[in-house]
Amino acid sequence: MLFVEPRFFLFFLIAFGVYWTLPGNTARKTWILACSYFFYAAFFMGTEVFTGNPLPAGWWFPFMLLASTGMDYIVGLKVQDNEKDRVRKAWLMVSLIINIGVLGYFKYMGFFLESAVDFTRWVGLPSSPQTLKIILPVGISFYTFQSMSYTIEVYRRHRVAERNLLNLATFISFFPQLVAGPIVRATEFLPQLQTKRTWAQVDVRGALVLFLVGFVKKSCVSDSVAPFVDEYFGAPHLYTALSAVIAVLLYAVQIYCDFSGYTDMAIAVARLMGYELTKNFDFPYFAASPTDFWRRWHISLSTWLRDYLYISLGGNRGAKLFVYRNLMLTMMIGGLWHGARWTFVIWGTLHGLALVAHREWDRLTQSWKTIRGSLAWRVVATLATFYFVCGCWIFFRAADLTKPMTGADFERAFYTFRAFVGSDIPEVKNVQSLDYRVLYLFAGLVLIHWLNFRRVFSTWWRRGPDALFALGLGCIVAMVFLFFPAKYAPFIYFQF
Amino acid sequence: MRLLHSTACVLLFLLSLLGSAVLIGHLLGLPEIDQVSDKIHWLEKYGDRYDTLFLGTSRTNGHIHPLLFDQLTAAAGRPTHSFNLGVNGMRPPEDTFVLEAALAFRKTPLKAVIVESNFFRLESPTNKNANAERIGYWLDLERFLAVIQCLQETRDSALAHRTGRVGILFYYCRKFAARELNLGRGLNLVKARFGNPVKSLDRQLGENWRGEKIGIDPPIQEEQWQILQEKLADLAKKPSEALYGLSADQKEVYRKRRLIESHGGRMIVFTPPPATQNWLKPNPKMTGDIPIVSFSDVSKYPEFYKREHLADAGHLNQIGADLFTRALAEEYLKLP
Repeated sequence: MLFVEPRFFLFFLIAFGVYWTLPGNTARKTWILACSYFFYAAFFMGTEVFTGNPLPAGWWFPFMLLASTGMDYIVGLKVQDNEKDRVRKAWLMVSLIINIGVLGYFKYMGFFLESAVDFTRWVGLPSSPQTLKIILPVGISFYTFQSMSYTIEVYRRHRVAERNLLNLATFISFFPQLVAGPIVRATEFLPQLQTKRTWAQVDVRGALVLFLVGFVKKSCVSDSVAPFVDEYFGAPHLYTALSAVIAVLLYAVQIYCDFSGYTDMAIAVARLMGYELTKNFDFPYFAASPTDFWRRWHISLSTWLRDYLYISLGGNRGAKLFVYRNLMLTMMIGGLWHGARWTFVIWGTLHGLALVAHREWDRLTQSWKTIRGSLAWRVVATLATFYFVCGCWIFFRAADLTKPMTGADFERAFYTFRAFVGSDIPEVKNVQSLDYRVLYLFAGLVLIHWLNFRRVFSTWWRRGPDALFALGLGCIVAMVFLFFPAKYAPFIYFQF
Repeated sequence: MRLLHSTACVLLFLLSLLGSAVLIGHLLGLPEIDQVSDKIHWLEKYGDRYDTLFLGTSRTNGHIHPLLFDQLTAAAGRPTHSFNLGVNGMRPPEDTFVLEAALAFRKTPLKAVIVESNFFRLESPTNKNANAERIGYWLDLERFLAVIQCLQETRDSALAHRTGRVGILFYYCRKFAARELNLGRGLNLVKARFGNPVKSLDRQLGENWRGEKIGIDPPIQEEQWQILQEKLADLAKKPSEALYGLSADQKEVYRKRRLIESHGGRMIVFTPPPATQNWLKPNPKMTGDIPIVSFSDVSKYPEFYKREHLADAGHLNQIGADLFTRALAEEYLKLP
């Protein structure tokens, strides 16, 4: 059930209507929990329950979510109630091993087996091909990280263990962010569940505009450029170098609009229920350095990795090389978090290297205060960062998670990369090219994005009476419907 | 007070949304639909050249040769200038919509519209054919209400069995909402602007609208021939029967009649060969008297059932179409 589907609107209308008519906070949370499990089950099941047809393969995944919640509830209490550090640590390890074990089994088992077989073949040892057909439960990477953050925070005594199972279950399964984030921290969300939300607290205008913006990003922009991107990445060696540049730029647009569009809608839906979710994007393509980019892109994941992985590895403490090792490891694991593909590891490694290089560059140019403060520096740095990020997206896009990775996937990625960085590419007969006029669309989108960055659109719609806002919103929605897709493409981050 | 304020805002939003959607829909006009748009655009420009239209399915589109028809009527001293408005798979209520669109720009009076007799067609959500996909362009409020009426009346167990009436109603509601809200129309315009549209056969024919290339070329296949033999065996046991159908069927006939008469023409109903088990007969009590030209009697028109005149179990080939056009003209000329 995607946020852009009519059935989601029907679901939300019921969820929203019943939620605000329920009198007590417990009843409301119970309702949210029921809706969240229904929402999650809808990804795996259709009408089989009613028709008597055999249940699909993933029918039991909601029970796995329930079991994960129950386990973290018990671990949280055990960590809280024990004073001995060794016991507390042991309970934390139970939670981490189970959570990472489940994630590892569903997401990485097939990958590691395939890689092991490839490796044994490479060294010349006999091996038989292994293929595991494991269905990946949607959202597992997100809710596993979310529940791990809870036990780690209890262990670090950043918060007390949640004694109300309903609160914890609602926190882990809250439907707006369940399947693709943002990865909400327990310290931010659980306190919101303690008190009954009031309608007066809800920023209705903000939520509606945010949902509309997210919808436009996903349905009108991301899904519109997707055919061009798919066309190119399906057979890049048949296209010109200019087409490679166009396709990579469009993919940068596609992935940003797809993911940030989903996040906008998730935040808006949660806001309409009276809850605030973590900000996940802050104009990442206007970042002036790789470090700045990771402060603006998928903020909830990058801060999670920083707080629970990078700091756990030692963070900035210790020798320079040790810090750089921590950075590289964090980024490589961050890459692998997206999916069990070597191309994601390459993507993470490139970003890790860029972070290390930027630290060194930053240190070396510390004395250039005047130049670094200039607009020209800022523009050049932003363009260079964007160019680097786009180059990395090539490896991110190369992985088709529905199929096993092959050498041809690497070849295609490196071919595009060479074309993108201006290196010579082999000539082919009957070379094709993407329609360059798409760049006009790209330029238009950059302009709109820049105006938004400059806060041109941020407040004017908040002024004026509600009636005028309702009328204006109706007109804009009617225009947005013109770009409503005939088919709903799943959000890219659902596969992670 | 707060609730009243919120309700008023929601109503204003809906009003604005619908008003804007209607305005946008009006500005955009009809979407580009394969087969249909080309004919309507043609009639928009040159509709006044024609005084006689043929309306119906592929059994009109492929069976009637307007040039030949005009030659025959001219020779008989009752000249016509006819145009074939048949579209493959176009049954009521789509045909009424297309006729309305085709006549919307007309300034000169019509002589006649010769309409293929067909029952009201309800699509099941499980149907993935081109006809089902076309629903989106013709399902305006008038047609939507007609669909609901037909759905209430129909006793088509095969249709109800697949998804149930509620499923079908929900399907049509979605199609209606999508049409009224212009869902995806902008995307289609962008695709048409930037994409490489494939010219339809009809568009390629261009000025040859009036049907130099009429009828279906390939000879009938053995499998189709066997199907036809089975149909004929059934018809021998129980001849084709004229039915009044549902009141939704008759209302559609009446709508077309009213429309045609408002343009100064007369409506003539015909049933094309090969015959079917049942065909819709206008009920004079509901539609008034409408002349009927029926070709559903197998024994009376054996030439339409010869192997060399057929394209498949439901269609004539070019020679058959030529024969049928002559037969239709002959019957037309017999009418007062």
